[in-house]
Amino acid sequence: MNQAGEKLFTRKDAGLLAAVLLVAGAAALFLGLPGRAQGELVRITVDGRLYGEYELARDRNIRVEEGTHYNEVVIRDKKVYVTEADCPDRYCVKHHEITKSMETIVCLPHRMVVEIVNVGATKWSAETDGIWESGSHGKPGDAGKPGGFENIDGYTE
Amino acid sequence: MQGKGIAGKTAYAAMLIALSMLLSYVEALLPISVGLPGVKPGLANLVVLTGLYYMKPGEVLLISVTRILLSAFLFGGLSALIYSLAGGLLSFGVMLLLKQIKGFSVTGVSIAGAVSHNLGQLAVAVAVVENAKVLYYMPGLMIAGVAAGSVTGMLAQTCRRYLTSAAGRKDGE
Repeated sequence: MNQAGEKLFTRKDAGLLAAVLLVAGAAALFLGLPGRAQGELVRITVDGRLYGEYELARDRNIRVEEGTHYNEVVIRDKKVYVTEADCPDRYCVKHHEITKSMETIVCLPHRMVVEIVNVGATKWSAETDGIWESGSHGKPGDAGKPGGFENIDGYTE
Repeated sequence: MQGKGIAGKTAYAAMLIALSMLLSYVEALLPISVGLPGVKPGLANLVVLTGLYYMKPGEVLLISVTRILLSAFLFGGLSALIYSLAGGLLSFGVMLLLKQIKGFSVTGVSIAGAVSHNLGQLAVAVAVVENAKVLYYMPGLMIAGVAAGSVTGMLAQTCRRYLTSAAGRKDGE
Protein backbone atom coordinates (compact mmCIF):
# COMPACT_ATOMS: atom_id res chain seq x y z
CA MET A 1 0.00 0.00 0.00
CA ASN A 2 1.45 3.32 -0.96
CA GLN A 3 0.82 6.31 1.25
CA ALA A 4 -1.15 8.20 -1.33
CA GLY A 5 -3.60 5.34 -1.60
CA GLU A 6 -4.68 5.92 1.99
CA LYS A 7 -5.55 9.55 1.42
CA LEU A 8 -9.00 10.50 0.23
CA PHE A 9 -7.80 13.20 -2.12
CA THR A 10 -4.29 14.13 -3.25
CA ARG A 11 -2.73 17.00 -5.14
CA LYS A 12 -2.48 14.88 -8.27
CA ASP A 13 -6.18 14.10 -7.94
CA ALA A 14 -6.87 17.82 -7.84
CA GLY A 15 -4.76 18.27 -10.97
CA LEU A 16 -6.67 15.51 -12.72
CA LEU A 17 -9.98 17.02 -11.65
CA ALA A 18 -8.94 20.44 -12.92
CA ALA A 19 -7.78 18.94 -16.23
CA VAL A 20 -11.07 17.10 -16.75
CA LEU A 21 -13.16 20.16 -15.93
CA LEU A 22 -10.96 22.27 -18.19
CA VAL A 23 -11.41 19.88 -21.12
CA ALA A 24 -15.17 19.71 -20.47
CA GLY A 25 -15.36 23.50 -20.38
CA ALA A 26 -13.26 23.86 -23.51
CA ALA A 27 -15.43 21.28 -25.29
CA ALA A 28 -18.56 23.17 -24.25
CA LEU A 29 -17.11 26.41 -25.59
CA PHE A 30 -15.92 24.74 -28.78
CA LEU A 31 -19.34 23.21 -29.38
CA GLY A 32 -20.87 26.63 -28.77
CA LEU A 33 -23.13 25.45 -25.97
CA PRO A 34 -23.24 28.72 -24.03
CA GLY A 35 -25.42 31.36 -25.56
CA ARG A 36 -26.93 29.06 -28.15
CA ALA A 37 -30.08 30.36 -29.68
CA GLN A 38 -33.59 29.08 -29.75
CA GLY A 39 -33.62 26.69 -32.68
CA GLU A 40 -35.94 26.81 -35.65
CA LEU A 41 -35.73 23.47 -37.35
CA VAL A 42 -36.00 19.90 -36.11
CA ARG A 43 -33.76 17.59 -38.11
CA ILE A 44 -34.08 13.83 -37.86
CA THR A 45 -31.34 11.59 -39.19
CA VAL A 46 -31.29 7.81 -39.21
CA ASP A 47 -28.02 5.98 -39.69
CA GLY A 48 -26.36 9.24 -40.75
CA ARG A 49 -28.94 9.86 -43.50
CA LEU A 50 -31.45 12.71 -43.42
CA TYR A 51 -34.92 11.43 -42.57
CA GLY A 52 -36.76 14.72 -42.44
CA GLU A 53 -36.76 18.32 -41.33
CA TYR A 54 -39.65 19.95 -39.51
CA GLU A 55 -40.48 23.38 -38.15
CA LEU A 56 -40.04 23.67 -34.42
CA ALA A 57 -42.86 26.19 -34.23
CA ARG A 58 -45.44 23.87 -35.74
CA ASP A 59 -46.87 21.18 -33.46
CA ARG A 60 -46.92 17.72 -34.94
CA ASN A 61 -46.17 14.07 -34.31
CA ILE A 62 -43.62 12.23 -36.43
CA ARG A 63 -43.48 8.50 -36.51
CA VAL A 64 -39.92 7.65 -37.51
CA GLU A 65 -40.09 4.19 -38.99
CA GLU A 66 -37.05 2.28 -40.12
CA GLY A 67 -37.55 -1.37 -40.91
CA THR A 68 -39.62 -2.81 -38.08
CA HIS A 69 -38.47 -0.19 -35.57
CA TYR A 70 -40.22 3.03 -34.72
CA ASN A 71 -39.75 6.13 -32.60
CA GLU A 72 -42.62 8.51 -31.99
CA VAL A 73 -41.23 12.06 -32.06
CA VAL A 74 -43.47 14.87 -30.87
CA ILE A 75 -43.05 18.59 -31.52
CA ARG A 76 -45.26 20.60 -29.18
CA ASP A 77 -45.00 24.17 -27.94
CA LYS A 78 -41.51 24.49 -29.45
CA LYS A 79 -40.34 21.49 -27.46
CA VAL A 80 -39.26 18.18 -28.94
CA TYR A 81 -39.48 14.83 -27.19
CA VAL A 82 -39.93 11.14 -27.88
CA THR A 83 -43.12 9.63 -26.47
CA GLU A 84 -42.81 6.07 -27.61
CA ALA A 85 -40.25 3.69 -29.10
CA ASP A 86 -39.65 -0.02 -29.40
CA CYS A 87 -35.91 0.18 -28.71
CA PRO A 88 -34.66 -1.91 -25.78
CA ASP A 89 -33.21 0.82 -23.58
CA ARG A 90 -35.76 3.60 -24.24
CA TYR A 91 -33.25 6.27 -23.29
CA CYS A 92 -34.78 8.41 -26.02
CA VAL A 93 -38.14 8.35 -24.23
CA LYS A 94 -36.59 9.15 -20.85
CA HIS A 95 -34.57 11.98 -22.36
CA HIS A 96 -35.57 15.50 -21.34
CA GLU A 97 -37.37 17.73 -23.85
CA ILE A 98 -35.09 19.66 -26.15
CA THR A 99 -35.75 23.26 -27.09
CA LYS A 100 -32.48 24.93 -28.05
CA SER A 101 -30.32 24.65 -31.12
CA MET A 102 -27.65 21.92 -31.01
CA GLU A 103 -29.59 19.89 -28.48
CA THR A 104 -30.12 16.29 -29.49
CA ILE A 105 -32.09 13.22 -28.57
CA VAL A 106 -30.31 10.06 -29.62
CA CYS A 107 -31.74 6.58 -29.94
CA LEU A 108 -28.61 4.47 -30.19
CA PRO A 109 -30.27 1.12 -30.97
CA HIS A 110 -32.17 2.66 -33.89
CA ARG A 111 -29.30 4.97 -34.83
CA MET A 112 -31.70 7.87 -34.85
CA VAL A 113 -30.70 11.42 -33.98
CA VAL A 114 -33.20 14.21 -33.42
CA GLU A 115 -31.49 17.57 -33.36
CA ILE A 116 -32.57 21.18 -33.28
CA VAL A 117 -30.77 23.40 -35.73
CA ASN A 118 -30.65 27.10 -36.12
CA VAL A 119 -31.16 27.78 -39.80
CA GLY A 120 -28.46 30.21 -40.88
CA ALA A 121 -28.41 32.26 -37.72
CA THR A 122 -26.23 34.73 -39.57
CA LYS A 123 -28.43 34.90 -42.65
CA TRP A 124 -31.66 35.47 -40.83
CA SER A 125 -32.20 38.95 -39.54
CA ALA A 126 -33.65 40.13 -36.26
CA GLU A 127 -37.04 40.75 -37.87
CA THR A 128 -37.33 37.13 -38.90
CA ASP A 129 -36.39 36.08 -35.39
CA GLY A 130 -39.30 38.16 -34.19
CA ILE A 131 -41.64 36.18 -36.39
CA TRP A 132 -40.35 32.90 -35.01
CA GLU A 133 -40.76 34.06 -31.46
CA SER A 134 -44.40 34.89 -32.08
CA GLY A 135 -44.82 31.15 -32.46
CA SER A 136 -47.82 31.45 -34.76
CA HIS A 137 -48.12 28.41 -36.95
CA GLY A 138 -47.41 28.70 -40.60
CA LYS A 139 -46.55 32.38 -40.37
CA PRO A 140 -42.96 32.18 -41.62
CA GLY A 141 -44.02 30.88 -45.00
CA ASP A 142 -46.84 33.41 -45.31
CA ALA A 143 -44.49 36.24 -44.50
CA GLY A 144 -42.67 35.42 -47.70
CA LYS A 145 -39.24 35.52 -46.12
CA PRO A 146 -36.28 34.14 -48.01
CA GLY A 147 -34.70 30.86 -47.00
CA GLY A 148 -35.35 27.18 -47.32
CA PHE A 149 -38.65 26.99 -45.54
CA GLU A 150 -40.63 26.01 -48.60
CA ASN A 151 -38.69 22.78 -48.46
CA ILE A 152 -39.79 22.23 -44.92
CA ASP A 153 -43.42 22.47 -45.86
CA GLY A 154 -42.73 19.70 -48.32
CA TYR A 155 -41.58 17.54 -45.45
CA THR A 156 -44.36 18.39 -43.08
CA GLU A 157 -47.26 16.95 -45.01
CA MET B 1 -6.03 -13.24 -2.26
CA GLN B 2 -2.76 -15.06 -2.59
CA GLY B 3 -2.20 -18.71 -1.78
CA LYS B 4 -5.49 -19.91 -3.23
CA GLY B 5 -5.83 -22.69 -5.77
CA ILE B 6 -7.61 -22.42 -9.10
CA ALA B 7 -10.90 -23.48 -7.51
CA GLY B 8 -10.62 -20.84 -4.85
CA LYS B 9 -9.80 -18.17 -7.40
CA THR B 10 -12.71 -19.20 -9.62
CA ALA B 11 -15.12 -19.08 -6.71
CA TYR B 12 -13.76 -15.74 -5.63
CA ALA B 13 -14.05 -14.27 -9.12
CA ALA B 14 -17.60 -15.63 -9.50
CA MET B 15 -18.58 -14.04 -6.21
CA LEU B 16 -17.20 -10.67 -7.26
CA ILE B 17 -18.97 -10.89 -10.64
CA ALA B 18 -22.22 -11.61 -8.83
CA LEU B 19 -21.56 -8.69 -6.50
CA SER B 20 -20.92 -6.27 -9.35
CA MET B 21 -24.05 -7.43 -11.18
CA LEU B 22 -26.05 -6.98 -8.00
CA LEU B 23 -24.69 -3.44 -7.66
CA SER B 24 -25.75 -2.69 -11.25
CA TYR B 25 -29.21 -4.00 -10.43
CA VAL B 26 -29.53 -1.97 -7.22
CA GLU B 27 -28.37 1.06 -9.15
CA ALA B 28 -31.05 0.51 -11.79
CA LEU B 29 -33.65 0.66 -9.00
CA LEU B 30 -32.48 4.08 -7.85
CA PRO B 31 -34.64 6.75 -9.44
CA ILE B 32 -31.72 8.89 -10.58
CA SER B 33 -32.35 10.84 -13.73
CA VAL B 34 -30.48 13.90 -14.87
CA GLY B 35 -31.94 13.82 -18.37
CA LEU B 36 -28.70 12.75 -19.95
CA PRO B 37 -28.78 9.29 -21.47
CA GLY B 38 -27.01 6.60 -19.52
CA VAL B 39 -25.80 8.71 -16.64
CA LYS B 40 -25.57 6.54 -13.52
CA PRO B 41 -23.42 6.27 -10.42
CA GLY B 42 -21.50 3.27 -11.77
CA LEU B 43 -21.54 1.27 -8.56
CA ALA B 44 -20.40 -1.86 -10.39
CA ASN B 45 -17.11 -0.11 -10.94
CA LEU B 46 -16.64 -0.32 -7.17
CA VAL B 47 -15.73 -3.98 -7.60
CA VAL B 48 -13.27 -3.35 -10.44
CA LEU B 49 -11.75 -0.38 -8.66
CA THR B 50 -11.29 -2.19 -5.36
CA GLY B 51 -10.11 -5.29 -7.16
CA LEU B 52 -7.26 -3.36 -8.77
CA TYR B 53 -5.73 -2.90 -5.32
CA TYR B 54 -5.94 -6.54 -4.22
CA MET B 55 -5.79 -8.72 -7.32
CA LYS B 56 -3.78 -9.21 -10.48
CA PRO B 57 -4.88 -6.91 -13.35
CA GLY B 58 -5.77 -9.93 -15.50
CA GLU B 59 -8.13 -11.27 -12.86
CA VAL B 60 -9.86 -7.91 -12.52
CA LEU B 61 -10.19 -7.59 -16.29
CA LEU B 62 -11.76 -11.05 -16.44
CA ILE B 63 -14.29 -10.05 -13.78
CA SER B 64 -15.09 -6.80 -15.56
CA VAL B 65 -15.54 -8.33 -19.02
CA THR B 66 -17.59 -11.26 -17.68
CA ARG B 67 -19.89 -8.90 -15.81
CA ILE B 68 -20.41 -6.80 -18.95
CA LEU B 69 -21.15 -9.86 -21.08
CA LEU B 70 -23.55 -11.37 -18.53
CA SER B 71 -25.35 -8.06 -17.94
CA ALA B 72 -25.76 -7.53 -21.67
CA PHE B 73 -27.17 -11.02 -22.20
CA LEU B 74 -29.47 -10.83 -19.18
CA PHE B 75 -30.76 -7.25 -19.17
CA GLY B 76 -29.27 -4.81 -21.62
CA GLY B 77 -29.69 -6.49 -24.94
CA LEU B 78 -26.88 -6.95 -27.40
CA SER B 79 -27.13 -3.45 -28.83
CA ALA B 80 -25.92 -2.14 -25.48
CA LEU B 81 -23.00 -4.56 -25.36
CA ILE B 82 -20.66 -2.66 -27.65
CA TYR B 83 -21.09 0.51 -25.58
CA SER B 84 -20.55 -1.26 -22.29
CA LEU B 85 -17.47 -3.03 -23.62
CA ALA B 86 -15.97 0.15 -25.02
CA GLY B 87 -16.57 2.02 -21.78
CA GLY B 88 -15.48 -0.87 -19.58
CA LEU B 89 -12.24 -1.62 -21.42
CA LEU B 90 -11.18 2.01 -21.75
CA SER B 91 -11.91 2.77 -18.12
CA PHE B 92 -10.08 -0.39 -17.00
CA GLY B 93 -7.00 0.63 -18.98
CA VAL B 94 -7.02 4.19 -17.68
CA MET B 95 -7.55 3.13 -14.07
CA LEU B 96 -4.77 0.56 -14.28
CA LEU B 97 -2.43 3.18 -15.72
CA LEU B 98 -3.25 5.78 -13.10
CA LYS B 99 -2.94 3.27 -10.31
CA GLN B 100 0.63 2.53 -11.41
CA ILE B 101 1.50 6.23 -11.22
CA LYS B 102 2.24 7.21 -7.67
CA GLY B 103 0.31 10.06 -6.17
CA PHE B 104 -3.26 9.35 -7.19
CA SER B 105 -5.73 8.29 -4.53
CA VAL B 106 -8.53 5.80 -5.12
CA THR B 107 -10.80 8.78 -5.71
CA GLY B 108 -8.56 10.08 -8.48
CA VAL B 109 -8.34 6.67 -10.12
CA SER B 110 -12.11 6.34 -9.86
CA ILE B 111 -12.79 9.75 -11.41
CA ALA B 112 -10.45 9.00 -14.31
CA GLY B 113 -12.14 5.64 -14.77
CA ALA B 114 -15.65 7.09 -14.75
CA VAL B 115 -14.81 9.92 -17.16
CA SER B 116 -13.00 7.61 -19.58
CA HIS B 117 -15.90 5.13 -19.38
CA ASN B 118 -18.30 7.84 -20.51
CA LEU B 119 -15.96 9.07 -23.23
CA GLY B 120 -15.47 5.53 -24.55
CA GLN B 121 -19.21 5.04 -24.83
CA LEU B 122 -19.61 8.42 -26.49
CA ALA B 123 -16.95 7.59 -29.07
CA VAL B 124 -18.81 4.40 -30.00
CA ALA B 125 -22.07 6.33 -30.13
CA VAL B 126 -20.60 8.84 -32.58
CA ALA B 127 -19.36 5.98 -34.77
CA VAL B 128 -22.63 4.04 -34.64
CA VAL B 129 -25.11 6.82 -35.39
CA GLU B 130 -22.64 8.44 -37.81
CA ASN B 131 -23.55 11.86 -36.52
CA ALA B 132 -20.96 14.00 -34.76
CA LYS B 133 -23.76 15.97 -33.12
CA VAL B 134 -23.76 13.32 -30.44
CA LEU B 135 -20.63 15.08 -29.14
CA TYR B 136 -23.04 17.63 -27.70
CA TYR B 137 -23.22 15.28 -24.72
CA MET B 138 -19.47 15.33 -24.12
CA PRO B 139 -19.20 18.14 -21.53
CA GLY B 140 -22.23 16.86 -19.62
CA LEU B 141 -20.99 13.29 -19.62
CA MET B 142 -17.54 14.39 -18.42
CA ILE B 143 -19.02 16.34 -15.50
CA ALA B 144 -21.30 13.39 -14.73
CA GLY B 145 -18.21 11.16 -14.76
CA VAL B 146 -16.49 13.40 -12.23
CA ALA B 147 -19.53 13.25 -9.94
CA ALA B 148 -20.04 9.49 -10.28
CA GLY B 149 -16.32 8.80 -9.99
CA SER B 150 -16.06 10.83 -6.81
CA VAL B 151 -18.90 8.95 -5.15
CA THR B 152 -17.62 5.53 -6.22
CA GLY B 153 -14.06 6.49 -5.26
CA MET B 154 -15.02 7.49 -1.75
CA LEU B 155 -17.04 4.31 -1.34
CA ALA B 156 -14.05 2.30 -2.53
CA GLN B 157 -11.85 4.14 -0.04
CA THR B 158 -14.20 3.13 2.76
CA CYS B 159 -14.31 -0.46 1.53
CA ARG B 160 -10.52 -0.64 1.41
CA ARG B 161 -10.20 0.47 5.00
CA TYR B 162 -12.26 -2.52 6.15
CA LEU B 163 -10.78 -4.93 3.61
CA THR B 164 -7.23 -4.07 4.59
CA SER B 165 -7.87 -4.56 8.29
CA ALA B 166 -9.74 -7.82 7.60
CA ALA B 167 -6.93 -9.06 5.36
CA GLY B 168 -4.44 -8.07 8.06
CA ARG B 169 -6.17 -10.25 10.62
CA LYS B 170 -6.65 -13.29 8.38
CA ASP B 171 -3.51 -13.45 6.28
CA GLY B 172 -1.23 -11.63 8.68
CA GLU B 173 -0.41 -9.30 5.80
